[in-house]
Amino acid sequence: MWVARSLARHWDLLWQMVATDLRGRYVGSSLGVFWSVIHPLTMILIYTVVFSKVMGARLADSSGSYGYGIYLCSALLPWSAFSEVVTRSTTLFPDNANLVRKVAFPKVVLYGYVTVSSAINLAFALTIFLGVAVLTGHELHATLLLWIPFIGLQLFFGLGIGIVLSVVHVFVRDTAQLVAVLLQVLFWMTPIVYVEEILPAWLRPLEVVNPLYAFAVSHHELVLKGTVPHLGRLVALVLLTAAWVLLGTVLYRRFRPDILDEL
Amino acid sequence: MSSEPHARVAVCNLWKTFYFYRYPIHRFTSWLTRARYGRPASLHTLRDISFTVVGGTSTGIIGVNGAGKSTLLKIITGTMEPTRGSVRLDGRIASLLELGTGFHPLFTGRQNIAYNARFLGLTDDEIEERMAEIEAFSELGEFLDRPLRTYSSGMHVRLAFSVAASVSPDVLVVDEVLAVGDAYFQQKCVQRIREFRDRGVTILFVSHDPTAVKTLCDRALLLHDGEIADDGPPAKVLEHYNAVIARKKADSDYLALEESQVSRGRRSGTFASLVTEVELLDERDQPLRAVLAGTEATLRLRVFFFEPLHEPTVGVLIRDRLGNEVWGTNTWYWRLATGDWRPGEMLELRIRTKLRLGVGEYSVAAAVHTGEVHVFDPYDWLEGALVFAVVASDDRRTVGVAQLEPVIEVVRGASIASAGAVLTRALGPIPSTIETAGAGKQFLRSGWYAVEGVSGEGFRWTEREGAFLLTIEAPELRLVAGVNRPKGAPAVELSIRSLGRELGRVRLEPGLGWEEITVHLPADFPRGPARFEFSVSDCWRPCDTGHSSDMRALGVRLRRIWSPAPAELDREAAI
Repeated sequence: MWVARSLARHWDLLWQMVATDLRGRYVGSSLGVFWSVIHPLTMILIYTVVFSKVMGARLADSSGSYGYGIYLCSALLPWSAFSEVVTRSTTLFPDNANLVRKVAFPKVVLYGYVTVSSAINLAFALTIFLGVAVLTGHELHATLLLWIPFIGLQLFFGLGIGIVLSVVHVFVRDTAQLVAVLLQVLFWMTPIVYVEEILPAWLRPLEVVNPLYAFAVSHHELVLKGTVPHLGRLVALVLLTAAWVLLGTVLYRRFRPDILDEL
Repeated sequence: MSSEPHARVAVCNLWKTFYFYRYPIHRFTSWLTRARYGRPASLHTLRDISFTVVGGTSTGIIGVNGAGKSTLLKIITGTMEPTRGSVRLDGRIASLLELGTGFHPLFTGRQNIAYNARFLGLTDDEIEERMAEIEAFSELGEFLDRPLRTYSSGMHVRLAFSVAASVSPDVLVVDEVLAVGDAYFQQKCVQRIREFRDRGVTILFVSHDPTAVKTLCDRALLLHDGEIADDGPPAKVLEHYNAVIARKKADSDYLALEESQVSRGRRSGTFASLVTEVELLDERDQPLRAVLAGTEATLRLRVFFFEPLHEPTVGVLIRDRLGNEVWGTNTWYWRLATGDWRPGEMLELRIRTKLRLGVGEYSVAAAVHTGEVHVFDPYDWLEGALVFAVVASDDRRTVGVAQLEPVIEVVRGASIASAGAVLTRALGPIPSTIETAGAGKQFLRSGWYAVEGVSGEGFRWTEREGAFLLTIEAPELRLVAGVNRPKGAPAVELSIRSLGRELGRVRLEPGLGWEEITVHLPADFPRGPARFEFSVSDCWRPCDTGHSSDMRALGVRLRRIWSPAPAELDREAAI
């Protein structure tokens, strides 16, 4: 577990980079870090109020009048963080070329700061989301306790893919563009905005092909239904995540000297 | 610090090979295809480097550009990975390689200090502890609370160095940072590096500035072509370094000659004589490109004569890096008789002097003319004939303009060069055809008027005497010429000479048209580039004949000058 050891040893540096990343976004603005609260708050309010009250979107099982907003956010917030991790990891070496070329530090810190930075933004959003859920009278299930580590799993899944793509992107600079397109496609292949029941029968295999499908469905179960996802599915997702992280680690270790030469 | 000296840095059989793939993706696919496809070109930047640096010493690494110095330091500091071999470090390493890494333009100076120091390996506590010291050293005052984007580049560097200097490493790597900032701050930086050294910090120092290596280091490594060419006391290694510079410069001059013959200096003049060579020589007459300040050296000029010249003036001018005149003289100023010179002879001017010049790079201009300054009969003026460096001979430095006390002598050099070789070396390819109004007109050297002519057909008038350069292909020289004179006026004679020898004389009958004239060259006249002089027996002065009030003396109209290729002659013979 060299990754964990390395991260622990350079925790100071990681934390500094995360802080700089978060602060750097809003540097010079008077509200500063408050913007990281205002952005998700607005988004969550729009989804819950506009979709539920204005457009009258309802779920079939009609779990309260704000049900659709809750449904949407429970899978959308993790998705946003996931896609942010993938996108930012992919271009991580060119983005930080200056640092990588000039300073000796464990590059694994770079992956760390991208992930932690996204996780912190997600934490803001989740807190607000849960607050809004309570205010709108949504029933908080005990399974929420499992939801948080499950979201963590999805971030690690994104990180694994991100590591692989970051190595490929150094040599094939089209990767970032391709990733942007594929993420769009993947988003609409996953029941986040729509309800999975509306999918026609011939699209059902998506559930097997698309791991994000499994993630989304599990989010809905954990947040809305209060049920624990099927154990087989959880194990499959854990193994898949481990496989991606492993592949990324192997690729990264093999190409590390080449990455430094190519940048 | 332990009392016993031990290796702080141990570099062991280090290789670094750069692979150049046609497309970056091949770097990736070659792994999958086991390099069966997209095989890269490779460059060995470091070849089997091994050395150890003992704790508490400072080592200078010198070498010409591309010798592998930076690659070596990058591998030692860990920003690059070796292809083979290993580097072992004992203790904390800090580098002044790249100042200001990760500076954020919108953050304040203080915020950037915290961020930057983190990359240099300081912990939060250490940063807090040293903040005051860093702030004081930077002397930035209230600017520390302003965003970095408002800083001047000098302030930027000051901030960066202040942070870098605050770390307390066991090994400090310094790469050319002393070239930044103003003189005051530079001095402060050097002082800080000295303090580090005195505190027992091991220093690795890369520089092009031999003086700095001499004053700061107690050992020097010379890298050349990725190998350690020398290792020892700085003074000894620097001597070796100068020899390497000289060789490299000579190589590149040779290459430059091969590729583009004109690249050596900028010339102007009539080329009645040419400066063929300007060299700086040591006491054994070996060429030098770097000289220790104050040592004796000889500046040798060689001048080749195309025309007989009486008492030519030969001069040199040493300029500094910015083009300012540092020192110069000529044989006229020096009251030195140069004597009479026949075509084909070679003059050698040897200026032997102690080079009491400040440390820096200098270039030499050389000229041949008559009289005091080159505006009278400018035969050749060669700017940038030679570039050399003066390096410090000891720790004491000087600034200012120098007073040299040379011994200057004129001798007759061995005339080893042929005129053709001299021209090719000095000017590059010379054409075998000159359109006087167009292509090749820069090879008309003296005695020519501006282009005249109507309906796109240009020509030039000659003066009474003049010169041009032409490559001879066959023993013939042809001209398309004419003379504007009233019918019945006497014919004009045109005499062609080269190296003072008359080659032929042609008569041109008066008339308004064009005539093609052939001048048969002597059979022994060498093929290749040559300089020709001409003289016209009689000039047409329009005012004399009452045709015009123009005072110009016009000789012969010339439209084209060429030497026919042998193939052309054969074709004509067949007809």
